[in-house]
Amino acid sequence: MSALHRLLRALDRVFPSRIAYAHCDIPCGIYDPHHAQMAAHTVIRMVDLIGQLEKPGPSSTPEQRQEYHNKLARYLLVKEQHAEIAKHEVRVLWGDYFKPEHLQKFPELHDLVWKALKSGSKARQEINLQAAEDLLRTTNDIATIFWRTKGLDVLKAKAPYPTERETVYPKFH
Amino acid sequence: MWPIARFRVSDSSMVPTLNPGDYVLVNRWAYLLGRPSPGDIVVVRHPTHTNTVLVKRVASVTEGGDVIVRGDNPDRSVDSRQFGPIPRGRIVGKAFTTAKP
Repeated sequence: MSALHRLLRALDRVFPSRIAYAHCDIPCGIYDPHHAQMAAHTVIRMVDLIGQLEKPGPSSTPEQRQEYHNKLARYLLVKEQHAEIAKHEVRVLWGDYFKPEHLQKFPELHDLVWKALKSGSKARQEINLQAAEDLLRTTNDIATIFWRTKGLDVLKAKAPYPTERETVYPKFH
Repeated sequence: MWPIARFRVSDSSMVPTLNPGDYVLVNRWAYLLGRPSPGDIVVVRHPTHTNTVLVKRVASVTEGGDVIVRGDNPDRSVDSRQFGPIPRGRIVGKAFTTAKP
């Protein structure tokens, strides 16, 4: 067997083998719920901005209408994208990071993930502040579980963004 | 399609069968006719990170031909327990030889 290994290693110097991962979560073990939380903040912010946008009236000029549609389209696009980013990040944590032993300690995890994905979808489909708030709340709850599985406590603080919602952060010692 | 592919093993989900740095030689034609059987060591594409290939052992085969895979070292393995069955088309091949230092 050793001769074969030597031969393959020599071959590797000329034509490197592909790597077959045994433990496969690439990038190896690097997960963070913060992406999902930030994306949820962005969705809230977009709903706020859409709400603040002045709607064109009957006396608006074509330029004012164009300006309105341009801004609205941009806010909607970002809302769509970030609701999807939040959903994607939650799915990655759920499918790749969390393990059965985590679920034993935190049996509410599946339900939380489900609620996060549902509120993410609703926040995409509608201009719905409640759905956006639900998305942030559920990603915060998932973040709490995530940091607990890392042996860290969490703190809740007002986020330093215009949304200023309460957000879960890990308490590093 | 050339029948033999070689892979170098990283990580330790197949310990003690395979250690990091071992090689596996894979027969890519193995399942053209036959079906995978439980116990086969296979190289598969990760269901979501499609550029990543994994080496695992077949635990069981579903009626549709999808395979349920496990690492031999379950504590260090991410496998069908997390990502579910692997479609048959995602199997790269069956390991027929492993090479250790």
